[in-house]
Amino acid sequence: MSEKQSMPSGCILEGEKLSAEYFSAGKNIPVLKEVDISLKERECIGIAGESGCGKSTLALSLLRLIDEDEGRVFGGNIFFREKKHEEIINIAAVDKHRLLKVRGKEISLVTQDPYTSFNPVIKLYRQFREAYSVHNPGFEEKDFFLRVSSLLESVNLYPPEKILQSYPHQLSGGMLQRASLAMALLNEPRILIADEPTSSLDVTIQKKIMETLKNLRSLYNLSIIFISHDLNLISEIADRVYVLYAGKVVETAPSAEFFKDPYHPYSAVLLKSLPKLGARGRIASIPGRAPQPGAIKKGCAFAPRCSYADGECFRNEPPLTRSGEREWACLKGK
Amino acid sequence: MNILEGKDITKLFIREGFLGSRSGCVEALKGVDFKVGSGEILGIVGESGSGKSTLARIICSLETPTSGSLIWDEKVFKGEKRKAHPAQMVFQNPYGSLNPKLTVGYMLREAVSAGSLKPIRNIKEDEIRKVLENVGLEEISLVSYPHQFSGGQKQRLGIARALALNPRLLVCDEPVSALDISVQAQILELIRLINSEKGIPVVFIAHDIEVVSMISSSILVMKDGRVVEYGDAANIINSPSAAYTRKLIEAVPVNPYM
Repeated sequence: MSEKQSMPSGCILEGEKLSAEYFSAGKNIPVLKEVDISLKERECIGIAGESGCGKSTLALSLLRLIDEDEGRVFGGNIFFREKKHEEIINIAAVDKHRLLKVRGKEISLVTQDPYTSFNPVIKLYRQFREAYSVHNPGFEEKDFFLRVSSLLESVNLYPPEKILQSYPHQLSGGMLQRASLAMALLNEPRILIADEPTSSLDVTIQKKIMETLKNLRSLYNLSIIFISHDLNLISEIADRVYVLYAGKVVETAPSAEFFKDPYHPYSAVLLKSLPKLGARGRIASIPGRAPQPGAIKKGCAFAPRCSYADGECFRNEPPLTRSGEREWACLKGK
Repeated sequence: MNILEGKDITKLFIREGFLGSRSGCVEALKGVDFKVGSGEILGIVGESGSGKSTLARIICSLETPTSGSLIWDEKVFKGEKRKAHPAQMVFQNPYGSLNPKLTVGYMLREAVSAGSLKPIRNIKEDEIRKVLENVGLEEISLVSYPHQFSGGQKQRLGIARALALNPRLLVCDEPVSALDISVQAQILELIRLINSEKGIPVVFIAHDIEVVSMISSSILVMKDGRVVEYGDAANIINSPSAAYTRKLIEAVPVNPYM
């Protein structure tokens, strides 16, 4: 693994050529293939794609959370700029001890289902306290309570005493998801990874969570990696969009440009198939379904579903083309 | 003409406490009225706990209402022996609603047999193929098992199974909420085509008013077991009168760039 001395200015996290695979029945199932990703200070990036495209695996890979028996991340680097020393560390290469200092402290994760991210038989108080004590050895009980109260307040959970004395099942899904956002921010992380944080919730609750997230972002100067299959949701919060298809990035662009003029045919049809309020008549959709990463060995993975594809697309894998802040992997695109 | 009318439907669930003692009851539906016209798609929208799935189960006689009546073709419905129910259901979870131990062919053969009252062994492959054609799965192998299919394909199989019974009404309970957005669009389009080409009326249930608005001709908005608003789909979307409906519409994510 290489050491890196400098990163582009303003950049806080940079994933370089990340590949990941899972082990299943003696075989290695590829999930991510040489994914490049970068996050600037105070920026929010959205990662979109269909299920199985590797977007959750990417979230787990950035924190090296993939179980060693189940899979591995290989071949890439994850550079992270530490606040304290302005030093750049490679998350992919650091030892376990150092890694634990980053996880939950510098970078934290909020997952899809709040009921499985909390321990169901322990009151929230002890779970918050544990998360705090790991990174604040010898802390004062008073400081902890002040920190928790102010966080619970910023996610609109009152009164903190009552919330902390509850078991997870005593809170509704929306409340618990807000509690898990508060817990993620307990140790003042600079990066929050939110993996489909609203997809198990009702629509009105979803709106509240999105508002909370936007509020927290400006309150704590967070950089956010927001993962969702819903591009409309991503458009509400993200400054830049990454589109993943079959384990690879097929397009990256600033939101303002992406939603107006997507370059990759997959992005374009994905945008067309979004539901629209009150739009009656024929519903546009993408024919077929997304292949497993690595299932298509030759050519462009999207070619079989693409209306622009010709012989060339089935033979050659499209490289990433770059122009300004935009990148896309298509032989036929712009 | 209405093919189905629900009048003042109420459903109480008794909550059982320790050793079966009655510890209270939950009013899942409180006096719900609705109508399904021929060839219509009625969209039912509401959040979790609003009673929309209970209503779907009552329409299919999977639950009996505590009070109120269902009127099919202007007659109170009592159920006929040996005959398939006029309303057939497509369930939310395509992974859980298909028997994993049955081949797709056998599952559909059973359904066709129940719909036509012919013994299973007399059902020909053609009849099963015809059912699969309706849902765009004409090329699959009949000896494959549900786990060999993707979520979207499984939901198509669920729809095929419901159609095999020649229903008068198709009841879809959150048929797309477990699916990816791109697959969701495919299934919505399929339901729309079944409705417009075969003229089968549909009751379409979802928690997402955006999805409901794309497919329904009329919309019923439910909250806590009550009907909050009911009427023509375009009217409700363009000028909602109930505060709750407005809240649902406002909760739809708005893309600021489009």
